[in-house]
Amino acid sequence: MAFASAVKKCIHEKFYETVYDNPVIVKDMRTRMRGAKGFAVIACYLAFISITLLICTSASVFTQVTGNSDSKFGETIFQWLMNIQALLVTFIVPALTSGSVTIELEKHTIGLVALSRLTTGRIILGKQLSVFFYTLVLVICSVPLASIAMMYGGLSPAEIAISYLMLIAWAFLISSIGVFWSSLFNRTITATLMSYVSCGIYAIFSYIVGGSSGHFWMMFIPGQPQTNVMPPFVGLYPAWAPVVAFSHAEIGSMHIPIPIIAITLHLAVGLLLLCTAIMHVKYRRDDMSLPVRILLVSISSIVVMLICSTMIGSLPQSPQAQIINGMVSQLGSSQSSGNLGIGIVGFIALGILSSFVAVFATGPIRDKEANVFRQSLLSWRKIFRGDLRGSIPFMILWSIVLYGFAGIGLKLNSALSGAQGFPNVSPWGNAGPVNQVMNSLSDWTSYAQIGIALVVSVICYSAVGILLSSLFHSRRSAFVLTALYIIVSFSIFPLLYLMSDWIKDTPIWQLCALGPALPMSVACDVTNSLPSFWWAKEDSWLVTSLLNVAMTIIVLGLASLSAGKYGGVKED
Amino acid sequence: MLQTVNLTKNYGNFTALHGLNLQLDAGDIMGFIGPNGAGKTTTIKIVATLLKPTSGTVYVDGIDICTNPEDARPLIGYMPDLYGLYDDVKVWEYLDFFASAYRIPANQRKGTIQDALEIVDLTTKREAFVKDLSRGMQQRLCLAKTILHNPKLLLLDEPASGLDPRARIEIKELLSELRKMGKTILISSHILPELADFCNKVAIIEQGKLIVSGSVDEIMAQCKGGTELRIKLVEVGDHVMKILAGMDTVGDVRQEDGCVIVTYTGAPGEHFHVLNELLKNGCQVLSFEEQQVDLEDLFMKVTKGIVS
Repeated sequence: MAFASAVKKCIHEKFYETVYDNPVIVKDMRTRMRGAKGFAVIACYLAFISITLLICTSASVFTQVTGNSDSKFGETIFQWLMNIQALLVTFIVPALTSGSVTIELEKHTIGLVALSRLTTGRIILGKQLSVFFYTLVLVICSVPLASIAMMYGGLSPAEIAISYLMLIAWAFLISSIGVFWSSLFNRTITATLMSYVSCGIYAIFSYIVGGSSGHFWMMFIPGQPQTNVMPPFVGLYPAWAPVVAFSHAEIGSMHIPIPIIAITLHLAVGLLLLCTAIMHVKYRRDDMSLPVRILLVSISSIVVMLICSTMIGSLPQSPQAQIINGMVSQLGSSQSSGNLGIGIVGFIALGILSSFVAVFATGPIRDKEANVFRQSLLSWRKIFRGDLRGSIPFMILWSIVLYGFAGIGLKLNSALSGAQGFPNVSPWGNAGPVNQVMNSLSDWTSYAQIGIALVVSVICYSAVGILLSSLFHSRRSAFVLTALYIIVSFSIFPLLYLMSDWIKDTPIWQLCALGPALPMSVACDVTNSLPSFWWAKEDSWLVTSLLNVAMTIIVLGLASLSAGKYGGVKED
Repeated sequence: MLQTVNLTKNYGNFTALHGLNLQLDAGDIMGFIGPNGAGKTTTIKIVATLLKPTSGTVYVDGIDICTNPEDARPLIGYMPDLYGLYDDVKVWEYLDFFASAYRIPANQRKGTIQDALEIVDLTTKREAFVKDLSRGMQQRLCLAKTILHNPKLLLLDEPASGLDPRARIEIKELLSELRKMGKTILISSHILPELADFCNKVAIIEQGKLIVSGSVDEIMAQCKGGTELRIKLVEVGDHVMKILAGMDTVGDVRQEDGCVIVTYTGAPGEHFHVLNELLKNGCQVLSFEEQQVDLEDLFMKVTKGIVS
């Protein structure tokens, strides 16, 4: 009882400090709602929605798109309402948030705020929540317009409530994106530009990909809309909310509602961006490495699992698999979709991990005298700290968790399609001496082989990041060069592949093994028409892994020498 | 109250501070003087925990600010040279924001804000918008914010720069008020007269190096190499110069504007012996006074005029 009351008191105090008595929220809300300005924005927002709604619905009536059914008409109005609101929120919110931190820098108030007893978390959360609450006011003000749609029928209050929740989660994400960019830059104009670009790209991506996958699903699999089974990411853009409000994704035997996926993902990514922003506020950088890394690993793993379990792999009747199979067959593939799935999953996992290597594996080397080689590989205690020494252990952990979740997804996918086990066909036949042994051990051989190549490649990328951090004083230089190295390494196989006609008889062709793309491409079986290697093609994973291990040893050895000599990246 | 130990700050290859050592006891008011770019603002920002030193450390009331900045911050009131103000809020809202940020309990905030406004004499402007205040009033408002949480140490970076003479006098009066309240103050400025009659300690810095620091009287004596005496005589002849030059307690002797300027190097308070010697030798003395050297003279004497 005492424990419960203590927890209750703690939560109350945290809520009171963070939200109710947060001076940042109070000041921002006070200034935003002062005079006619705040109310004029609300009036304009509602007027714009009303006029656009009137024009769109009138056009629908005149062109008889909706027929004569009142219920269809109500649904159309509501869909238009959500479309317009999603668009407006995407346009308005970045303008309000992208200057939230940069304005403090420009007005020279950040130092005064940083010196107070406000934590960076309260500052950032205050900035984000003040805009989020204002957006809530805008969105809630539009509810009476939704009630007009309800009058025509065909809409349930639950459908409206779910759609609004999805829109609110979208607003949370968009406002977090603005605050995130605002914390990274010193100038509002740069932050605003980056906010609009990133929000725009994500909005278009989620609209097209989410929407098109939903349509494909409906077109290719008759009967799916009736059972309301849809791909998991179909509802990311809130304009699709009315369509998917009662739909669910089938993950193995689990039925996960589409709105839950969209809302959870947006809130989690928003939270991740806010935690990252906390680490970048000038004068008061709090170490949020633990929550950031946990959130990043969780979000990426679950997203990959959802992709693998529903959209990729041995689900032959899925529209995505059909499209991918079609594309691959044009490249000369004869591989079954199960093996194709492993290759694609390898590419996705490597793509995600590689995108973040430069972030986690560059920075100041704290203990310059100590052996970087030993530090980098054995500092497992620093795995969730903002310390370069924990970067390789963290990337190993993340690779294993991410690829593990991908495997779970593929397993669930196989179960969905009715296949027995995973993968039930030996991926590369019995060719290659290592495969002969490995294939006899388990059906998971090919999955494990790609996993080994993936983890070793990520370790090698991280080691390159550490070496460059030990050579340059500026983190930016180390970051850019690490990213460049990763791009070159990633593209070495596709580049040589394109030049294969000219270099097939030269040793240069064998350099393909340096990049991790080779074993994954072998898994996808797009290498049939390629020149021969010095090794059996099926052993590419092993050759790539061994080469990357050797490179890691050399690179970390060099980092040990250069850290003491050059000092490396300097602390802020 | 404040001690900096070998404080060094590098910006890339440029060294802004070279092993700075300062010491302020409770109740001290130190004038931190130096030309533009000497390292005053860097020092104050490090003490305010806004910048990390490259090496060395700072102790505020015994707390190492490099290892425990969170513990030191409530003790510090910082007023930057480019003072930050939210211009779209009212005066009381601005102070309420910082009162809440400093976790002053909600039921005490109103009284605290009122007290701070009274100290800076802005009670009548309570409901005015910050953007409508004059520059001097904005400066005073920033000072009100600085003392809101009752800090022991005040760091004032160029508090009177850009103000007209009236506003500067008002700020000076305000600082005298703070001195009476027992605050320890580190005040930087390159406008020397505003510090001359206000500080009990002075530190002069140039190119990131501390040239001289200590109590004003000590430094004056140290820099002058003795007390300068200004003697006006009916007739200044060679014999007068010879008498003075022949004394053991007299250093340099020179003529200036019809007066004789003598550097007295003897025991403090015993320079009357110089007068006695002149009178004994029949010199007709019109006036005999100790030359007043102000901070400006001192500053010009110890700095080389190099702006880093």
